[in-house]
Amino acid sequence: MSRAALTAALIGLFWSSSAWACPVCGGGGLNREAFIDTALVLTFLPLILMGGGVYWLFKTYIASDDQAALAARERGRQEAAAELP
Amino acid sequence: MMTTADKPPLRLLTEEDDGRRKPAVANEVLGMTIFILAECMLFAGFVSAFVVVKANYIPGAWPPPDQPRLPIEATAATTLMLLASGFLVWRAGRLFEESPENARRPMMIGVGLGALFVGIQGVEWARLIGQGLTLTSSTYGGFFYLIVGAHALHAFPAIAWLVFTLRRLQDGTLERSVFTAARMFWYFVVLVWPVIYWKVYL
Repeated sequence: MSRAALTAALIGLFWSSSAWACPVCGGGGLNREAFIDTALVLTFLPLILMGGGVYWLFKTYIASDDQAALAARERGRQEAAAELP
Repeated sequence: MMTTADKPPLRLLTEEDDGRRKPAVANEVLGMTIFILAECMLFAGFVSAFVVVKANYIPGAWPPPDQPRLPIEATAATTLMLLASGFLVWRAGRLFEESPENARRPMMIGVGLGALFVGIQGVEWARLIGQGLTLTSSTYGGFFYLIVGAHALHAFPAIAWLVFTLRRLQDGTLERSVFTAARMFWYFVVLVWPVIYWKVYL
């Protein structure tokens, strides 16, 4: 690449400014604030919902497991007591 | 004396009669949970789109001056009605655990209030259409009918399901998991409405 082309490329690179392709992002003020707020909500809400759902399922499953283990232990104790002469 | 080989296998309390273990969460409840999570995102999408479009307007230019205003006060009253309905259905759920017979009365009033909410909303819609606010009259009208209509589309089957559970409750044949799933759906309908009221009406 010639020196002139390199210089032109560097000038082009540093002289250019950001182009807002989206009118919402480039709108500024309330418009931009609304866009960022809703983007945050739509990003984190599904994560919170899914995380909460999985956590709830996990807790419910563990609780039912504990209950089942307790019941099995109690039943075993009753059967052992019944077998005693 | 029985030997270990003769002993029947240990049965857990959470086992069905055929020996399979009961699911930790009833299928109806799990299905309804997943459905509600998906519906939350649907309404979040609708409301977000509305908020961004509303922010595009110059302050003071929303709602558009040529469009009728939404009935804020009347809808506040119906919102309270819906919240009361949600509370009564919740109360019915609590009473159902103690004695299903005691759940009938709050359930009946709760369903009645829910139906009244939908009825009053329908009357308000008819009035707004008469005043010129239609789905195609403006972005304002389009979003209003889309969001509030989506809510009504959920409220109708939720009320129908509650009526079904109420009939089963009166017959004494209502299953706990079915009742829980129906109540969950109604709670969703009740709790999403104040967000819609806040974002769309106010």
